[in-house]
Amino acid sequence: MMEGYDQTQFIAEEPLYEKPVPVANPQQSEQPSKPKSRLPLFIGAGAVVVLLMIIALALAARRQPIAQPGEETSSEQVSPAMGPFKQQLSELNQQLQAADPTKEDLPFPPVDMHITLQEK
Amino acid sequence: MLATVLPSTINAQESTATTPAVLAVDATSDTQSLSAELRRLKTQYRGELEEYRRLESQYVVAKQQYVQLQTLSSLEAAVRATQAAMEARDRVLRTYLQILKVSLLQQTGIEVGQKEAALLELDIAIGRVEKHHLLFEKELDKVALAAATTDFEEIGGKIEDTSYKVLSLLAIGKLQSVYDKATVLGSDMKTVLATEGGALKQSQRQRAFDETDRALGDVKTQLQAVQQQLTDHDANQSKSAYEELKDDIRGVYTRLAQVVSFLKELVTI
Repeated sequence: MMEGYDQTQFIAEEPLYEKPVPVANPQQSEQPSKPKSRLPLFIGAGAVVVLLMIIALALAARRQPIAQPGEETSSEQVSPAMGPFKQQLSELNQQLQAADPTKEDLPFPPVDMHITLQEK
Repeated sequence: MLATVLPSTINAQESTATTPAVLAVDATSDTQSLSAELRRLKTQYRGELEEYRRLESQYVVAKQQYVQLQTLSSLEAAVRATQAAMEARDRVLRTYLQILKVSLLQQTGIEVGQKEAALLELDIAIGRVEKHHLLFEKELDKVALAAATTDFEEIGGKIEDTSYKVLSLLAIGKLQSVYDKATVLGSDMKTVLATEGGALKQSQRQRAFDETDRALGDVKTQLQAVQQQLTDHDANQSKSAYEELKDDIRGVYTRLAQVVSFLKELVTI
Protein backbone atom coordinates (compact mmCIF):
# COMPACT_ATOMS: atom_id res chain seq x y z
CA MET A 1 0.00 0.00 0.00
CA MET A 2 2.80 2.45 0.84
CA GLU A 3 5.02 1.26 -2.01
CA GLY A 4 6.98 3.91 -3.92
CA TYR A 5 6.79 6.43 -1.08
CA ASP A 6 10.12 7.51 0.47
CA GLN A 7 9.57 7.84 4.13
CA THR A 8 13.06 9.19 4.85
CA GLN A 9 12.39 12.43 2.91
CA PHE A 10 11.47 15.49 4.91
CA ILE A 11 8.80 17.78 3.90
CA ALA A 12 11.25 20.67 3.97
CA GLU A 13 13.32 19.01 1.27
CA GLU A 14 10.54 19.38 -1.17
CA PRO A 15 12.01 20.94 -4.38
CA LEU A 16 11.43 24.61 -4.53
CA TYR A 17 10.78 24.75 -8.26
CA GLU A 18 7.65 22.90 -7.68
CA LYS A 19 6.25 25.83 -5.79
CA PRO A 20 3.82 27.84 -7.89
CA VAL A 21 5.40 30.95 -9.40
CA PRO A 22 3.51 33.99 -8.26
CA VAL A 23 1.84 35.69 -11.23
CA ALA A 24 1.49 39.45 -11.23
CA ASN A 25 -2.02 40.47 -10.82
CA PRO A 26 -3.00 43.11 -13.37
CA GLN A 27 -5.33 44.68 -10.84
CA GLN A 28 -2.45 45.14 -8.41
CA SER A 29 -0.33 47.13 -10.98
CA GLU A 30 -3.09 49.70 -11.29
CA GLN A 31 -2.80 50.47 -7.65
CA PRO A 32 -1.01 53.83 -6.86
CA SER A 33 2.75 53.32 -6.70
CA LYS A 34 5.04 54.68 -4.05
CA PRO A 35 5.65 58.47 -4.20
CA LYS A 36 8.56 59.24 -6.68
CA SER A 37 11.77 61.01 -5.63
CA ARG A 38 11.62 64.82 -5.87
CA LEU A 39 15.25 65.15 -6.97
CA PRO A 40 14.56 65.72 -10.71
CA LEU A 41 12.10 68.45 -9.78
CA PHE A 42 14.71 70.23 -7.70
CA ILE A 43 17.28 69.91 -10.51
CA GLY A 44 14.84 71.36 -13.05
CA ALA A 45 13.93 74.26 -10.78
CA GLY A 46 17.62 74.95 -10.15
CA ALA A 47 18.35 74.99 -13.88
CA VAL A 48 15.54 77.48 -14.49
CA VAL A 49 16.84 79.77 -11.74
CA VAL A 50 20.40 79.64 -13.14
CA LEU A 51 19.08 80.36 -16.64
CA LEU A 52 17.13 83.36 -15.38
CA MET A 53 20.19 84.68 -13.59
CA ILE A 54 22.29 84.37 -16.75
CA ILE A 55 19.66 86.24 -18.76
CA ALA A 56 19.45 88.97 -16.11
CA LEU A 57 23.22 89.38 -16.07
CA ALA A 58 23.37 89.51 -19.86
CA LEU A 59 20.72 92.24 -19.96
CA ALA A 60 22.50 94.22 -17.27
CA ALA A 61 25.80 93.98 -19.15
CA ARG A 62 24.09 95.15 -22.32
CA ARG A 63 22.74 98.24 -20.62
CA GLN A 64 26.08 99.19 -19.08
CA PRO A 65 28.87 98.58 -21.62
CA ILE A 66 32.36 98.28 -20.19
CA ALA A 67 34.26 101.48 -20.71
CA GLN A 68 37.43 101.11 -22.74
CA PRO A 69 40.58 102.88 -21.60
CA GLY A 70 40.63 106.40 -22.96
CA GLU A 71 36.99 106.24 -23.94
CA GLU A 72 34.72 108.88 -22.57
CA THR A 73 31.61 107.67 -20.85
CA SER A 74 28.48 109.56 -20.04
CA SER A 75 29.00 108.96 -16.37
CA GLU A 76 32.42 110.65 -16.52
CA GLN A 77 32.37 113.68 -14.31
CA VAL A 78 33.97 116.71 -15.90
CA SER A 79 35.31 119.38 -13.62
CA PRO A 80 33.20 122.55 -14.15
CA ALA A 81 36.29 124.62 -14.80
CA MET A 82 37.39 122.14 -17.49
CA GLY A 83 34.13 122.27 -19.43
CA PRO A 84 35.40 124.74 -22.06
CA PHE A 85 38.35 122.46 -22.85
CA LYS A 86 36.20 119.49 -23.82
CA GLN A 87 35.59 120.79 -27.34
CA GLN A 88 39.27 121.52 -27.86
CA LEU A 89 40.18 118.05 -26.61
CA SER A 90 37.70 116.51 -29.02
CA GLU A 91 39.27 118.42 -31.92
CA LEU A 92 42.74 117.46 -30.76
CA ASN A 93 41.72 113.83 -30.66
CA GLN A 94 40.36 114.04 -34.22
CA GLN A 95 43.58 115.64 -35.37
CA LEU A 96 45.54 112.89 -33.67
CA GLN A 97 43.52 110.23 -35.48
CA ALA A 98 44.26 111.97 -38.78
CA ALA A 99 47.98 111.93 -37.95
CA ASP A 100 48.06 108.16 -37.47
CA PRO A 101 51.04 107.08 -39.61
CA THR A 102 49.52 103.66 -40.22
CA LYS A 103 46.73 105.31 -42.22
CA GLU A 104 48.50 106.24 -45.40
CA ASP A 105 46.00 108.29 -47.36
CA LEU A 106 48.37 109.45 -50.10
CA PRO A 107 50.46 106.44 -51.14
CA PHE A 108 52.70 106.78 -54.18
CA PRO A 109 50.74 105.80 -57.31
CA PRO A 110 50.89 102.08 -58.11
CA VAL A 111 52.25 102.66 -61.60
CA ASP A 112 54.95 100.86 -63.53
CA MET A 113 57.92 103.25 -63.55
CA HIS A 114 59.71 101.11 -66.13
CA ILE A 115 57.31 100.89 -69.04
CA THR A 116 59.30 100.01 -72.12
CA LEU A 117 58.87 98.23 -75.40
CA GLN A 118 62.35 96.81 -75.17
CA GLU A 119 62.65 93.34 -73.71
CA LYS A 120 63.94 93.48 -70.17
CA MET B 1 43.62 131.89 -57.93
CA LEU B 2 44.08 128.16 -57.67
CA ALA B 3 44.74 128.07 -61.36
CA THR B 4 48.16 129.53 -60.63
CA VAL B 5 48.79 126.86 -58.05
CA LEU B 6 47.75 123.97 -60.23
CA PRO B 7 48.27 124.54 -63.92
CA SER B 8 45.67 122.56 -65.75
CA THR B 9 47.42 122.74 -69.07
CA ILE B 10 50.66 121.09 -70.02
CA ASN B 11 53.49 123.52 -69.62
CA ALA B 12 56.34 122.99 -72.02
CA GLN B 13 58.99 124.58 -69.89
CA GLU B 14 60.38 123.03 -66.80
CA SER B 15 59.33 125.01 -63.80
CA THR B 16 62.53 126.26 -62.27
CA ALA B 17 61.30 129.58 -60.93
CA THR B 18 62.97 130.42 -57.66
CA THR B 19 59.81 131.84 -56.10
CA PRO B 20 56.79 129.75 -57.02
CA ALA B 21 53.50 131.53 -57.24
CA VAL B 22 52.12 129.10 -54.72
CA LEU B 23 53.90 130.80 -51.87
CA ALA B 24 52.05 134.02 -52.50
CA VAL B 25 48.85 132.07 -52.72
CA ASP B 26 49.62 130.21 -49.50
CA ALA B 27 48.93 133.22 -47.34
CA THR B 28 45.74 134.24 -49.04
CA SER B 29 44.15 130.96 -50.07
CA ASP B 30 41.41 130.05 -47.76
CA THR B 31 41.19 126.58 -46.34
CA GLN B 32 37.86 125.86 -47.96
CA SER B 33 39.13 126.54 -51.46
CA LEU B 34 42.09 124.25 -50.90
CA SER B 35 39.85 121.53 -49.49
CA ALA B 36 37.55 121.79 -52.49
CA GLU B 37 40.53 121.68 -54.85
CA LEU B 38 41.91 118.66 -53.03
CA ARG B 39 38.60 116.82 -53.39
CA ARG B 40 38.48 117.64 -57.09
CA LEU B 41 42.02 116.44 -57.63
CA LYS B 42 41.43 113.21 -55.75
CA THR B 43 38.38 112.45 -57.88
CA GLN B 44 40.39 113.20 -61.01
CA TYR B 45 43.24 111.03 -59.73
CA ARG B 46 40.98 108.03 -59.14
CA GLY B 47 39.65 108.27 -62.71
CA GLU B 48 43.11 108.63 -64.19
CA LEU B 49 44.46 105.72 -62.19
CA GLU B 50 41.62 103.52 -63.37
CA GLU B 51 42.32 104.52 -66.97
CA TYR B 52 46.02 103.86 -66.46
CA ARG B 53 45.34 100.34 -65.17
CA ARG B 54 43.25 99.55 -68.23
CA LEU B 55 45.92 100.88 -70.62
CA GLU B 56 48.72 99.16 -68.71
CA SER B 57 46.96 95.81 -69.16
CA GLN B 58 46.67 96.48 -72.89
CA TYR B 59 50.36 97.41 -73.02
CA VAL B 60 51.37 94.15 -71.31
CA VAL B 61 49.30 92.05 -73.72
CA ALA B 62 50.44 93.95 -76.81
CA LYS B 63 54.09 93.72 -75.81
CA GLN B 64 53.76 90.00 -75.17
CA GLN B 65 52.22 89.45 -78.59
CA TYR B 66 54.93 91.50 -80.26
CA VAL B 67 57.66 89.50 -78.52
CA GLN B 68 56.05 86.25 -79.65
CA LEU B 69 54.98 87.20 -83.18
CA GLN B 70 57.62 89.73 -84.22
CA THR B 71 55.39 91.03 -87.01
CA LEU B 72 54.97 94.61 -88.19
CA SER B 73 51.34 94.76 -87.15
CA SER B 74 52.09 93.41 -83.68
CA LEU B 75 54.93 95.97 -83.42
CA GLU B 76 52.57 98.79 -84.36
CA ALA B 77 50.00 97.64 -81.80
CA ALA B 78 52.67 97.34 -79.13
CA VAL B 79 54.08 100.82 -79.87
CA ARG B 80 50.61 102.37 -79.68
CA ALA B 81 49.77 100.54 -76.45
CA THR B 82 53.10 101.44 -74.84
CA GLN B 83 52.71 105.09 -75.74
CA ALA B 84 49.16 105.15 -74.36
CA ALA B 85 50.29 103.57 -71.09
CA MET B 86 53.16 106.03 -70.74
CA GLU B 87 50.85 108.98 -71.38
CA ALA B 88 48.38 107.69 -68.80
CA ARG B 89 51.19 107.23 -66.29
CA ASP B 90 52.25 110.85 -66.78
CA ARG B 91 48.71 112.04 -66.11
CA VAL B 92 48.49 109.98 -62.93
CA LEU B 93 51.84 111.23 -61.67
CA ARG B 94 51.09 114.85 -62.47
CA THR B 95 47.79 114.78 -60.62
CA TYR B 96 49.38 112.94 -57.70
CA LEU B 97 52.08 115.60 -57.40
CA GLN B 98 49.40 118.29 -57.50
CA ILE B 99 47.55 116.52 -54.69
CA LEU B 100 50.77 116.52 -52.67
CA LYS B 101 51.19 120.21 -53.36
CA VAL B 102 47.73 121.17 -52.11
CA SER B 103 48.12 118.86 -49.12
CA LEU B 104 51.42 120.52 -48.28
CA LEU B 105 49.87 123.98 -48.59
CA GLN B 106 47.12 122.96 -46.20
CA GLN B 107 49.37 121.25 -43.67
CA THR B 108 50.37 123.15 -40.58
CA GLY B 109 53.27 122.23 -38.32
CA ILE B 110 55.92 122.34 -41.05
CA GLU B 111 58.78 124.78 -40.81
CA VAL B 112 58.34 127.57 -43.40
CA GLY B 113 61.75 127.07 -45.00
CA GLN B 114 61.20 123.34 -45.42
CA LYS B 115 57.73 123.91 -46.81
CA GLU B 116 58.94 126.45 -49.37
CA ALA B 117 61.76 124.16 -50.48
CA ALA B 118 59.40 121.20 -50.80
CA LEU B 119 56.86 123.24 -52.78
CA LEU B 120 59.60 124.33 -55.13
CA GLU B 121 60.71 120.73 -55.59
CA LEU B 122 57.13 119.73 -56.32
CA ASP B 123 56.86 122.48 -58.93
CA ILE B 124 60.01 121.21 -60.59
CA ALA B 125 58.74 117.62 -60.49
CA ILE B 126 55.40 118.64 -62.02
CA GLY B 127 57.29 120.56 -64.70
CA ARG B 128 59.37 117.49 -65.50
CA VAL B 129 56.31 115.30 -65.90
CA GLU B 130 54.62 117.88 -68.10
CA LYS B 131 57.70 118.24 -70.26
CA HIS B 132 57.89 114.47 -70.66
CA HIS B 133 54.21 114.37 -71.50
CA LEU B 134 54.81 116.72 -74.42
CA LEU B 135 56.76 113.98 -76.16
CA PHE B 136 53.47 112.20 -76.77
CA GLU B 137 51.80 115.01 -78.69
CA LYS B 138 52.34 113.01 -81.85
CA GLU B 139 52.38 109.29 -82.51
CA LEU B 140 55.85 107.91 -81.87
CA ASP B 141 57.71 105.16 -83.62
CA LYS B 142 59.74 102.47 -81.92
CA VAL B 143 62.95 104.56 -81.80
CA ALA B 144 61.24 107.69 -80.47
CA LEU B 145 59.44 105.60 -77.90
CA ALA B 146 62.76 104.20 -76.70
CA ALA B 147 64.02 107.78 -76.32
CA ALA B 148 60.91 108.67 -74.30
CA THR B 149 61.55 105.66 -72.09
CA THR B 150 65.11 106.81 -71.44
CA ASP B 151 63.89 110.32 -70.71
CA PHE B 152 61.45 109.04 -68.13
CA GLU B 153 64.09 106.86 -66.48
CA GLU B 154 65.99 110.07 -65.73
CA ILE B 155 63.06 111.83 -64.11
CA GLY B 156 61.21 108.89 -62.56
CA GLY B 157 63.60 108.51 -59.64
CA LYS B 158 63.52 112.23 -58.92
CA ILE B 159 59.72 112.23 -58.91
CA GLU B 160 59.71 109.38 -56.42
CA ASP B 161 62.29 111.07 -54.20
CA THR B 162 60.32 114.32 -54.15
CA SER B 163 57.09 112.49 -53.42
CA TYR B 164 58.49 110.52 -50.49
CA LYS B 165 60.13 113.62 -49.09
CA VAL B 166 56.82 115.47 -49.17
CA LEU B 167 55.05 112.47 -47.63
CA SER B 168 57.60 112.54 -44.80
CA LEU B 169 57.07 116.25 -44.28
CA LEU B 170 53.31 115.79 -44.21
CA ALA B 171 53.56 113.00 -41.65
CA ILE B 172 55.87 115.03 -39.40
CA GLY B 173 53.76 118.16 -39.87
CA LYS B 174 50.62 116.39 -38.73
CA LEU B 175 52.31 115.19 -35.55
CA GLN B 176 54.01 118.54 -34.91
CA SER B 177 50.65 120.25 -35.26
CA VAL B 178 49.05 117.93 -32.69
CA TYR B 179 52.03 118.42 -30.38
CA ASP B 180 51.78 122.23 -30.63
CA LYS B 181 48.06 122.19 -29.84
CA ALA B 182 48.50 119.73 -26.98
CA THR B 183 51.21 121.93 -25.45
CA VAL B 184 49.04 125.05 -25.58
CA LEU B 185 45.99 123.20 -24.31
CA GLY B 186 47.91 121.62 -21.44
CA SER B 187 49.28 125.01 -20.44
CA ASP B 188 45.82 126.62 -20.53
CA MET B 189 44.36 123.81 -18.47
CA LYS B 190 47.10 124.20 -15.90
CA THR B 191 46.41 127.92 -15.57
CA VAL B 192 42.68 127.46 -15.15
CA LEU B 193 43.06 124.71 -12.59
CA ALA B 194 45.74 126.42 -10.52
CA THR B 195 43.22 127.61 -7.94
CA GLU B 196 40.47 125.04 -8.45
CA GLY B 197 39.52 122.52 -5.76
CA GLY B 198 41.10 121.70 -2.43
CA ALA B 199 44.73 121.14 -1.59
CA LEU B 200 44.45 117.38 -2.01
CA LYS B 201 42.96 117.66 -5.47
CA GLN B 202 45.47 120.32 -6.47
CA SER B 203 48.37 118.12 -5.52
CA GLN B 204 46.85 115.21 -7.48
CA ARG B 205 46.42 117.46 -10.49
CA GLN B 206 49.95 118.75 -10.16
CA ARG B 207 51.32 115.22 -10.31
CA ALA B 208 49.14 114.52 -13.37
CA PHE B 209 50.35 117.70 -15.10
CA ASP B 210 53.95 116.80 -14.30
CA GLU B 211 53.51 113.41 -15.94
CA THR B 212 51.85 115.02 -18.97
CA ASP B 213 54.73 117.51 -19.25
CA ARG B 214 57.22 114.65 -19.15
CA ALA B 215 55.36 112.91 -21.98
CA LEU B 216 55.27 116.17 -23.97
CA GLY B 217 59.02 116.53 -23.42
CA ASP B 218 59.57 113.05 -24.83
CA VAL B 219 57.48 113.87 -27.90
CA LYS B 220 59.47 117.05 -28.46
CA THR B 221 62.75 115.15 -28.34
CA GLN B 222 61.42 112.44 -30.65
CA LEU B 223 60.13 115.01 -33.14
CA GLN B 224 63.50 116.75 -33.20
CA ALA B 225 65.20 113.42 -33.88
CA VAL B 226 62.81 112.65 -36.73
CA GLN B 227 63.35 116.12 -38.19
CA GLN B 228 67.09 115.58 -38.05
CA GLN B 229 66.71 112.24 -39.75
CA LEU B 230 64.74 113.88 -42.55
CA THR B 231 67.38 116.57 -42.97
CA ASP B 232 70.14 113.97 -43.12
CA HIS B 233 68.31 112.18 -45.93
CA ASP B 234 67.49 115.43 -47.67
CA ALA B 235 69.92 115.07 -50.52
CA ASN B 236 68.59 111.70 -51.63
CA GLN B 237 65.25 110.98 -50.07
CA SER B 238 64.29 107.54 -51.21
CA LYS B 239 61.49 105.14 -50.48
CA SER B 240 63.63 103.13 -48.07
CA ALA B 241 64.55 106.27 -46.13
CA TYR B 242 60.88 107.15 -45.92
CA GLU B 243 60.01 103.70 -44.63
CA GLU B 244 62.77 104.03 -42.05
CA LEU B 245 61.43 107.41 -41.01
CA LYS B 246 57.93 106.03 -40.72
CA ASP B 247 59.04 103.60 -38.03
CA ASP B 248 60.26 106.50 -35.90
CA ILE B 249 57.14 108.49 -36.67
CA ARG B 250 55.05 105.61 -35.28
CA GLY B 251 56.98 105.94 -32.02
CA VAL B 252 56.23 109.66 -31.84
CA TYR B 253 52.58 109.00 -32.56
CA THR B 254 52.30 106.45 -29.75
CA ARG B 255 53.75 108.85 -27.17
CA LEU B 256 51.63 111.72 -28.49
CA ALA B 257 48.51 109.58 -28.22
CA GLN B 258 49.41 109.06 -24.58
CA VAL B 259 49.67 112.83 -24.06
CA VAL B 260 46.20 113.35 -25.52
CA SER B 261 44.89 110.55 -23.33
CA PHE B 262 46.43 112.21 -20.25
CA LEU B 263 44.83 115.54 -21.14
CA LYS B 264 41.44 113.88 -21.54
CA GLU B 265 41.88 112.27 -18.15
CA LEU B 266 42.93 115.55 -16.56
CA VAL B 267 39.57 117.07 -17.41
CA THR B 268 37.90 114.62 -15.06
CA ILE B 269 40.20 115.14 -12.07
